[in-house]
Amino acid sequence: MEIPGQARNDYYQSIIQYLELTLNNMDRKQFLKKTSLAGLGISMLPYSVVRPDINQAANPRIKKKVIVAGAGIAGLCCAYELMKLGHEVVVLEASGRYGGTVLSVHDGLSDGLYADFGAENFTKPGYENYWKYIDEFNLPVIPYLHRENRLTRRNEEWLTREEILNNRNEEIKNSGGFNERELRFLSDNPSSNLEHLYLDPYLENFTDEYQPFGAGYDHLDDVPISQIYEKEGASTAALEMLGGRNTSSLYKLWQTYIMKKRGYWGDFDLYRLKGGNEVLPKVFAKHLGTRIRLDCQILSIDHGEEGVTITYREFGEEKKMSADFLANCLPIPALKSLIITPDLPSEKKYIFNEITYAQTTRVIFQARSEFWKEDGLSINLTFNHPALRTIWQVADEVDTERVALMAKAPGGTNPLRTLEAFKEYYPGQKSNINIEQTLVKDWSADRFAPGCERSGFTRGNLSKFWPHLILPFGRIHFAGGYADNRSWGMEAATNSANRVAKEIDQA
Amino acid sequence: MKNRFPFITSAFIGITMFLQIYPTEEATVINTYNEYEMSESSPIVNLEIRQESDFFDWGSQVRYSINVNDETDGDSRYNEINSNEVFLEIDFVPEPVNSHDIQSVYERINGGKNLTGLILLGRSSCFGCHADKSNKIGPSFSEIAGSYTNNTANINKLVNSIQHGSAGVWGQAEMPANPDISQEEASDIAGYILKQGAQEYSRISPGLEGVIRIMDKPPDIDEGTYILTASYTSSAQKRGEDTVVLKIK
Repeated sequence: MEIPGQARNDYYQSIIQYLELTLNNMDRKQFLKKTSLAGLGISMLPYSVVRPDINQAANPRIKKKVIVAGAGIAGLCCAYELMKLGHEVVVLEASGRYGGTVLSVHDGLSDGLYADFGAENFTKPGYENYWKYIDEFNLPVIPYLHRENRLTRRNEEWLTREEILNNRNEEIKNSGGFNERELRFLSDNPSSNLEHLYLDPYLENFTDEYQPFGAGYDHLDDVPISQIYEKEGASTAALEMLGGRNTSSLYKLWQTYIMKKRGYWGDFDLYRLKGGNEVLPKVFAKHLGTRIRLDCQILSIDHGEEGVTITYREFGEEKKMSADFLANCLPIPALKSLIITPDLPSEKKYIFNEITYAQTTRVIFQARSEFWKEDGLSINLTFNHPALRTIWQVADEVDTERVALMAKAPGGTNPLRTLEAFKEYYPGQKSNINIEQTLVKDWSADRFAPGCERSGFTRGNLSKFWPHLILPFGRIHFAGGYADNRSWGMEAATNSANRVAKEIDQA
Repeated sequence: MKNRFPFITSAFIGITMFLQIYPTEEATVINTYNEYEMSESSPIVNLEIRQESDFFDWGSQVRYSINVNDETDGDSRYNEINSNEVFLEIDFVPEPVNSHDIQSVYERINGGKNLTGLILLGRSSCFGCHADKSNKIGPSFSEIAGSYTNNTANINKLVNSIQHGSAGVWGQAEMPANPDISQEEASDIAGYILKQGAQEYSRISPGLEGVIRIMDKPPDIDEGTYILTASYTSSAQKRGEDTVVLKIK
């Protein structure tokens, strides 16, 4: 089916709009003036932009009806923001629960223990929009130390972090050592930050974290970042450590700029919510009440200049619902099974075909006690085993002798094989192990949320992904863990949800 | 092993036509295909497609759903059927197919297929991370077939990856070991992946419902045909099928 000319034109207008807004940093008024002067006409603009400027509080707001597709953290967050702005929202969720990949499980664990089967932690600095809600709802936060005192199994041997660093220093020495400039930098900085030495001078050209293009590096999308390190005079040892032979320079510089701007390109701390990260989706849901409708799977979307009509299945029956806008907060696999008329532009279809999600199996063990302490060990262990990548303790604030341990394995792993691998390679006395319960969540087999964080973009293709990933198409706006400039799940979800709420409010 | 899947040798064909597609006078012809010997204990598979006109447009999307009822395994309406074991095979024929020729086209498409490999795939966790023609966390069957020619040495390579897991060949994602899959079974799976992945105009998709995207119009043809076959093989190794033909122009 041909994409009607109007829909395509509108899509290109939204690209122009994006580029103009970000490049010239114009305010909204200027933009409207400019677009109408340019003869683009009112037809490309939703009716609601014709209203007076939103900053003039004396003017009445136009209340819009918005359907939010998907009650994952992005959908709930977006709906909550739209509701606060005075719009009428309804959230349609295909499954029988809300929260999506933010899933905190208590069932099957004793003494009040729990585990986050999905989104696991957030950082400080970073996660700015997420922290906004922690403050707003006064949610208790717990430092998450699962990466400290880690032991790593390599070539049948258990190594401490120091031993790994020593081994690496040995390798560095063998490949000629660092040059003087690198040594000077490393005397004040951890070796994990070495790339900053070479990338930092490039970053000042960026002005907007949502605009990778136009900073003077557009031609570097197909150049591996390793060539930049080389050009900047990195030593052989540094080149080996920094890698990046298959990473786009443009992408890497942009991503490093974002990390620097958000403050997590150096050291950052990890946190989780007390009681499980699902506390936040539950708070959103409490505020939204029955605006959230579970067991409502969206089947198709018809959209045009006047509004959006969706067909959905509720309690097994097909129904229709119309609204002014659709905030599409579905993950890409779910999006692909919707019929959208007019069809998405080829740029969106390309992205939806190319983007993949990380898919892991989470295995939870409950043990009778902190048995590893008898062996004088940390339980932050990296096994590097096909059925058990890494393990750590969760919910350690719960007042009980019992403990919950979280293990990660590739999608499709049988949890009892994870347990077997744990027992076989545990670095202490095997007879001390007192694991009494095993639970599993295999995200690769989840019908509605088959994965969490999206993969990165392939080298040389950034202009095919960006800005199309975040642009609206007509009256359909896109949010979710995939729809932001970085892929850290709950950060991307809350950022994109806030972006879409603002887009729709100001449309 | 051979006797585990008796349906392959008995090779009945279960075609029920989607009558709306054909003018009523041709319905009698189609009914002749219903004379297959479906054993009473075969699962009943029903492929449903919503259609408003005789033809589908190039580039359009078509929603489908599959219902399965099996006397032992249960009914898909009550979640009693593992949806990963229900398949839709989507075959494209670059020409209009006269209803008289459906059976021969169907046989040409389906002849010599290693269904055992597909059935084993459905019973494993493979489809969690792999798809036939599209990217998931693991490589698609077509990507695998593009890298490995279909020969014994490569099948053995893939058998090893299936049984013992694999990492680092296709990016960072790891594939778990599958110690429950035997050498012979892994070999059937690998053979199926290499053969199916190499077929550009055939796509296999697990699940009880979904959306098919009909290809954009190829420059050199005006009309084409999609042959859709839904299938389920029960735990008693009985196979049920339902085929629907879509005319495209």
